[in-house]
Order: sequence, then C-alpha cells, then structure tokens
Amino acid sequence: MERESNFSNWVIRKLTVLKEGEDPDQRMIECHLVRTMADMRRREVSSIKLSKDFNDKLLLKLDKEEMEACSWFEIFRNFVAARRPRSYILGSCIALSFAFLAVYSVYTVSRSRNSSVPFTMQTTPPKSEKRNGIPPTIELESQHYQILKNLEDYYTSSGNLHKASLIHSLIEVKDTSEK
Amino acid sequence: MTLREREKILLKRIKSGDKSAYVELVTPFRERLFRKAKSMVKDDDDAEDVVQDSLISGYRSINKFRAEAGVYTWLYRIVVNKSKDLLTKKKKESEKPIDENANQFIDMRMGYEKKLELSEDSDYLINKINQLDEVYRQILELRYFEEMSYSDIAEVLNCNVGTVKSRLFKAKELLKHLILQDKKGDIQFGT
Repeated sequence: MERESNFSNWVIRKLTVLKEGEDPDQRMIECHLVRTMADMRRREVSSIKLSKDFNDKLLLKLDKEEMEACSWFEIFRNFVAARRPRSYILGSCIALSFAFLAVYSVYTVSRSRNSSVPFTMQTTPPKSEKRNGIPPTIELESQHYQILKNLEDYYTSSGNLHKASLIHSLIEVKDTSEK
Repeated sequence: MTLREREKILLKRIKSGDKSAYVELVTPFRERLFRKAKSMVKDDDDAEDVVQDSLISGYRSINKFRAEAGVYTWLYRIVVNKSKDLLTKKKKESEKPIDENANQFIDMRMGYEKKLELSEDSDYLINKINQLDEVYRQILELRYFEEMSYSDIAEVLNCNVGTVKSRLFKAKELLKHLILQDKKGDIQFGT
C-alpha cells in the first residue's frame, strides 16, 4: 500500500512538472547551486596555488617514463569507443560475415571434392604394378619391342636370367596394353 | 579550435613520443586537479605529489585513454583514486580512523569556506548540502562545482547517463525539502 501511494505521489508530481513544463523550485535550487559553487570555485582559485616549478618537476619525471603498450582488446575498445559512425561499424560487421562465409564455403567445397575422389585414383600405385622398380607402362614401338626381345634372348643365352626376366616383364606390359 | 580537437592533436604528438605535448595537454587542468587532491588529502605537499603521480600514471597509460571521455574527466578519476590510496596508506600507518567523508569535496571544501569568506547564502546552502547523503553530495559536486557534462559524470561514477540525471534530480529534491523545512530557507530563497 505504501509503495503504491509512493508511486502515485511520484506520478502526480511528475505530471504536475510536465504540465507546468518545469519545476520552479528545482530551477531555483539549481540557480543557487550554480551561484554558490561558482563563488567557492572563484575563491578557491584565488587562494590555492600550485608551486611554480610544477611543470619542471613533471618534465623531469616524464624523462624517465615510457608509455605502456596497448593490448589488442584496448585497441578494439578504443576503436568502438571513438564513436565511429554506426554505418561504418555495420559495414565492417557485414564484410567480416562475408569473409567468414567465403572461407567456410571454400573449405566445405574442398572437403566434398576430397571425399568424392574415386578409390582407384590412389597416388601410390599397387605393389604389383611397380614390378621391381620398372615403370608400369612403357610406350614400346615395334622396333623397340624387337630390340628388347633380342636383348632378352641374349641374356637368356648368356645365363643372366634375372635381367632376362626383367626385360621379359617389360615385353609383357606391352602385350597386355595392346590387348 | 575546440578543446576536444586540441586534445586530439596533442594526443597524436604524445603518441609519437613528444613529452612536452603531454605537459601542454595537462597544463590547463593541473590547478583544478590540485584543488581536488587538496580537498581530499588536505595537505598542500601531499596534494602536489598526488597530482604529479597521477599525471605520470596518466602518461604511462595514455594508450588506454578512451576517446569518448575528456582528458580532465580521465585525469580526475586518476587523482581521486590516488588520493584515496594515499589516505588508505596514511590510515594504515597512523592506525587512526580517518573521516569516511574525507574524499568528498563538500566536507573538506567546507573547511575553506570560513577562510574564503563566502556569502551568507552560499554558507547556508553548503550547510544544507552537507546534510545530504554522500552519493548526492558527490553528484552535486561533479555537476555544479566541476561543471561536468552528464556523460562525463557517468564516466567518473561508472554508471549510465539516466542514473546521473535521476540522482541529480533527487539531490535537488532533497535539498529543496531541507530548505523548505527551515524557516531561514523561506527567507533566503523566498519559497
């Protein structure tokens, strides 16, 4: 009840003030405050003085001092606090959002490409295709084929079966690619 | 050139390493800061030391200075904090209770009032202000003595502008009631 009556008193007072435009008592108090404070200030100024070498002392102390570096948070806070136009802040937010979306879309596209690569396209060829260091496919012309065949015969006849089998495997590659 | 524009130019010079620009920046405020410090710490030498320390602290942290507050408001806060620190230090050293209102201007500045020979009206009003709570005395000081804007007061008191306005309104209302209760108030103010 008391709270209600306080509230209603407050509303009535406010309405009265609004109706009259201004509370004359408040205005009068304000005038007296301004006059009194100005009086005090004026008299204080005339009676309280700093020492004459204040600035010299300050400069001497300043010579030994360095400014502290500003942290990133403070730089950001100062930037916001510098009362930039709202459009400027809004524009920055939109630009940041677009940059984020662009990076995100590029990332998702590259991920989806990686997952859709066929399994057969492996960078490492199967072990069977390596054939002991011999390239899996060699374009063999018919003259080269004949030379290799001769070379295989030579190694076979001379007893160098290892080299003969290597050359034979190359000829086999040719055969299978032709098929 | 406005005061804020001048401050901005000087701040640029300070940040580029010009220390004399800092002295130039704070010179218009040093007397006011000194008087504020004196109203709190009472002693001339202590007050001067407080102001010197505050200005040095201000220089060190100039990069943290926020553009929306005026230089005076920013330094004022530092001086008040340094003065409180000194009072706390002295209290610990002496182990004597220090007046809780020592950091309030009216109480201490009331001390000057007799020396300053204020008018009868001013004397009367100051007595009435001293009957108010600390929060209201403080807001009246900042608004009418320091002549700060609402936003600067909000910065000093770390509250919003709406709170400043309502607190100021209430302070004047309370002052009005105190005066109205008093016959002398009727004579002095004709209310």
